Amino acid sequence: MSLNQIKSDKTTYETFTQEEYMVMKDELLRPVQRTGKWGKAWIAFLVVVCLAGLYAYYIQETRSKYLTVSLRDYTMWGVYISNFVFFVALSLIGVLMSAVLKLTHFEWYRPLSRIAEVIAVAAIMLAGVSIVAAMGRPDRLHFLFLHGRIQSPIVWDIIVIITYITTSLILLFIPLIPSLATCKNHLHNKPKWQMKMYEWLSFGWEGTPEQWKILKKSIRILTVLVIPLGVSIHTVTAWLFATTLRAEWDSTNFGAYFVSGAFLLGVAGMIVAVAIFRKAYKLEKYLTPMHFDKLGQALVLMSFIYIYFNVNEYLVPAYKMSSLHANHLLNLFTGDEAAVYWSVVFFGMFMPAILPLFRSMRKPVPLTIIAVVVVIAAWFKRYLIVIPGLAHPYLPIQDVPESWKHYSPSLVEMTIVAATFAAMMLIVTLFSRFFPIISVWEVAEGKLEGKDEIINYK
Amino acid sequence: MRNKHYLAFVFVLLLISAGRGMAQDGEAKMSLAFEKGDSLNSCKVIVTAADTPVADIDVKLYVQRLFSLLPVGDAVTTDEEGIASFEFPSGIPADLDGKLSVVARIEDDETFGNAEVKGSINWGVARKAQVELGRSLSGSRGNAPVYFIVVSNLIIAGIWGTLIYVVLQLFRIRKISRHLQSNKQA
Repeated sequence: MSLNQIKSDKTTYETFTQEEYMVMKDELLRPVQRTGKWGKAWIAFLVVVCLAGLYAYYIQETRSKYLTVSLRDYTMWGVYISNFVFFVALSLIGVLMSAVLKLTHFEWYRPLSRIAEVIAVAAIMLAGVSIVAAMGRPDRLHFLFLHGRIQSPIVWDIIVIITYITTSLILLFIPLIPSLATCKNHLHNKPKWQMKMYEWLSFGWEGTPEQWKILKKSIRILTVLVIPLGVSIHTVTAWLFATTLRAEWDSTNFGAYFVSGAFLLGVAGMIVAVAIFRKAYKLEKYLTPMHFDKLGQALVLMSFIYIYFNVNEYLVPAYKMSSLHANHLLNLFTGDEAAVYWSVVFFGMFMPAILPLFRSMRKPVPLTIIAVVVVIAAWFKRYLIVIPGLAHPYLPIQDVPESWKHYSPSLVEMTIVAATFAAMMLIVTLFSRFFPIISVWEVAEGKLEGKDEIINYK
Repeated sequence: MRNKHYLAFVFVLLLISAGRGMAQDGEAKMSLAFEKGDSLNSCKVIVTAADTPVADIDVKLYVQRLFSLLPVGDAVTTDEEGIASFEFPSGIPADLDGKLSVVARIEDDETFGNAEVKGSINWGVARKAQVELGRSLSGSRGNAPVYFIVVSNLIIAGIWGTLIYVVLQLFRIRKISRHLQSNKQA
């Protein structure tokens, strides 16, 4: 490397740290520095919905479950379990939008990674909450640890959820350390406890080359580790169904089908989150139309992959239409669930596969609308996997009370489901009010255009 | 006048209920006797009232199951000696010792109302302890296949070991800062 090159590199580096970095730091710390009245109103609204959910759960657990929830002998997994599958799927957002892009050197991941990771942590926590809400005897939860069999998919699920939650938390936390030092050094007029928290959590970060080396190595290890873990968590969720003796779940396709669906949901969820943070926190400079363009392309790819697995999942058994499958499939194609089924196919798969092929549809506003529709369709997709499957057992349902034959969630169930969504958004919102939602140092590093210098992002 | 009718009605009611009460006052005593025969076992229920045998009364015999009583044949009427004889079938599944709980009952009799006696006898077919099929995927918690335990624990240990390693690295970051600070102070 010539002396001139070194000089020019150094100039770029110094100019950046001196001016651009300070501007960037201020812009990215702004949402942490101050919460506006709309921000407070939003948090208050989410808290109210969460409290309503807690009250509904109190009613569910203190009164007869036969009266408070619509779960019966046949449909014993209702919206709680479809909600659980939805949240597990959403938690894969961290794998795709942070780990995969990071490892494959797609530089545009940088402002997205922390958003993805915090959504992943919040989603997997609420997946756990959904499971507990679905339990008939939550007071016996610890029996799973005391008496669980390692051969049982339920135990695998518990193990993998705990492991994934821990890994995601550490993966969220480690890249946060330099940002915590930034918060400690540059935030002002904040409560003492908050500043103390930054100090304590920043592990005395000084930004020495040795510390950077340790930090980056740890991130690299976790980034590699989280990919198989993320795939495992959703595959095991699929196996909870596939290892059960039900015609419609009896599929070797189920793991890949679930994971591909999760990636589609992850991209759509990311688009919605990016659009909200961009607008609410005025981050247009960092979350640019380029990100929407790339995410739109990813949405097309994931939609086609998901369509492929859906063809395998539904059309292959439908071609044979054996008596075992006909009961369930005809109900989806032409029966009671047909309206929901075809809406999900159209809005949740074909629309995101076709529309973003056009550049104009990959602009922030149209793409966000498409993504919101995909997220809603994704929730109903999980509903269609869980509930009609249970309502069509091998033996015809005969001589049972009317309420056993059809399932429609009760008010208590829907309130709890709404509260899980509110809780997830509350976790993400509160996180973004205490910590920079875009990783300052990762974006700054990206601006160095691949140069290896370690700068002191304090 | 109306009051008189009313009082007469109450009096008749009292008489009827007293009569019924007296009719049921005779308490039946029941006892069980088991007789082992060469080919057939029998169970005899002896019914007495005030130390005299009670004839012509229906007795039912049951075997206690987990949730309810299993009738053993139809009701049998007692003879002049107050004995109702039941053929006791062989082959009734019992507990691990082959012990059966037997219940004889007089049900809703006009004179004696309800009466019951319980006994136990070793005439059932002893249930064998559940046979463990050895280690298998469908086995109990303690009977998981060895390869399954080894592989799953290796995976879990590998992943958690890595996580612990990464967390320990965090403390190295703190150690470096402390070292720097102490150097500065020095």
